[in-house]
Amino acid sequence: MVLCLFFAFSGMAQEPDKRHVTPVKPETNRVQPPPKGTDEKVIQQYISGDSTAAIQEARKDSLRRAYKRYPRLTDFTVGINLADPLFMAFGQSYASADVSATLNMWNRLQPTIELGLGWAKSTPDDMNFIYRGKPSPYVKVGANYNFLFKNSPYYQVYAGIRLGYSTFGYDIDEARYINSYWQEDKEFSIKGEHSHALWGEAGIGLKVKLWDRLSMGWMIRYHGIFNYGKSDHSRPWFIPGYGPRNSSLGFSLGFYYTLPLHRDNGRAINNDTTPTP
Amino acid sequence: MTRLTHIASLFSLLVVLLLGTASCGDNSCYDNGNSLPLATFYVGNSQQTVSGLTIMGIGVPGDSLLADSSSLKEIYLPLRTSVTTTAYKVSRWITIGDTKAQTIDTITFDYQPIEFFHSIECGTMFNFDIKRLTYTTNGIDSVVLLTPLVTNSPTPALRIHFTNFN
Repeated sequence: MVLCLFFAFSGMAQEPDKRHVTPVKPETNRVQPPPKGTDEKVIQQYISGDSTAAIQEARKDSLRRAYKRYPRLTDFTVGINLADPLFMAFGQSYASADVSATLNMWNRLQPTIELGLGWAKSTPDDMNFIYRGKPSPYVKVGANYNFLFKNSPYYQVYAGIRLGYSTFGYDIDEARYINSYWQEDKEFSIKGEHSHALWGEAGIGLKVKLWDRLSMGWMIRYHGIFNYGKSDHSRPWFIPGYGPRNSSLGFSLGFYYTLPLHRDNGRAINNDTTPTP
Repeated sequence: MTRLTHIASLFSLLVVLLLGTASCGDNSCYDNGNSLPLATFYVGNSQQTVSGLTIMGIGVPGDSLLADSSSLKEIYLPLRTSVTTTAYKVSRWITIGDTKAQTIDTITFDYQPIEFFHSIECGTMFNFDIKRLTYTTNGIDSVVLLTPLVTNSPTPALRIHFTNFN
């Protein structure tokens, strides 16, 4: 009797038109993967629940990717300055040619050394002598600051300073002196003159990529002499690496070969991005 | 900008710079082309124009005169380069009362000529290292050497003080 009643009530409770469904999604530990390249620090901050810090860090991370930070030793560049030999082909009576070595640090600061030779031969029109500047060495040390440090090192707009020094020799030949009052006409030469000079330069320049790791650029330099050697017989006219003693502007035109110094930098500097000043 | 644009910009600037520097040349010589001692004339202690002066180098070819009865405040006295002594005769007409007379003096320079290259603009010349200066005192009171080294600077090298006969 009791069993009959139990089954009767059970059958009433399971009528199909009175059921309702409550869907339940199974719980899971699966998460969406972060964008490729996201900094591990950002991922860890998200995992630990520090989303504010993660957002800030993600912003910094994106800025870092937009504006590359070049390593301390970005690249090493060797160059040759051929401005004066080129100008000599167009009639200039003196020349200085040099090779340079530049270390690019953070793609900003670039210590530079330049070693070269300078020579001259001038016979000015309507004058009474030949000036021969013997091939003599000079050295310049200094640094450039690259204003386009966020861009490829192959494209640079920079300002630089140099300190230059040269020791050199020269002759004055076929000099002629005419004293019209005493009616004297005398020829002479001043041989074996020696001098030295110390000077400073400040300038701006531009460098662009030509092909692969080869680039070219120019630099215009304002310069002034700190000290130079005088003798009883002459004042030097031409100073190797400086140009004429009374000049205030110098110009260099160079070709450069760049060697990357950092593994990641190879990708960075080979990325031929155009500058966005 | 493309790479070619950069290169084009580079060369454009280069051309502009070359044209700019080409127009900057200055071949002027702002000093004298020769080293000549400049003598200034004084009467008493003031620089004055002295009248009636005749100046001639002793032994000059053709007895050429530097000044002939002229009124002068200063004059360049060129020195010889083939010898180490140059002498000048300085004649001056003076009036004392109603009397007109001529004083004749000699100024002698003993020096060492020095071959000198000044600059590409001014060229070569001779400087003179004055060792000794002698003079007579008929119409000249004194001669003061202002610098022993005569260069092409246009500044006076000596002062000739004439006697004031008035």
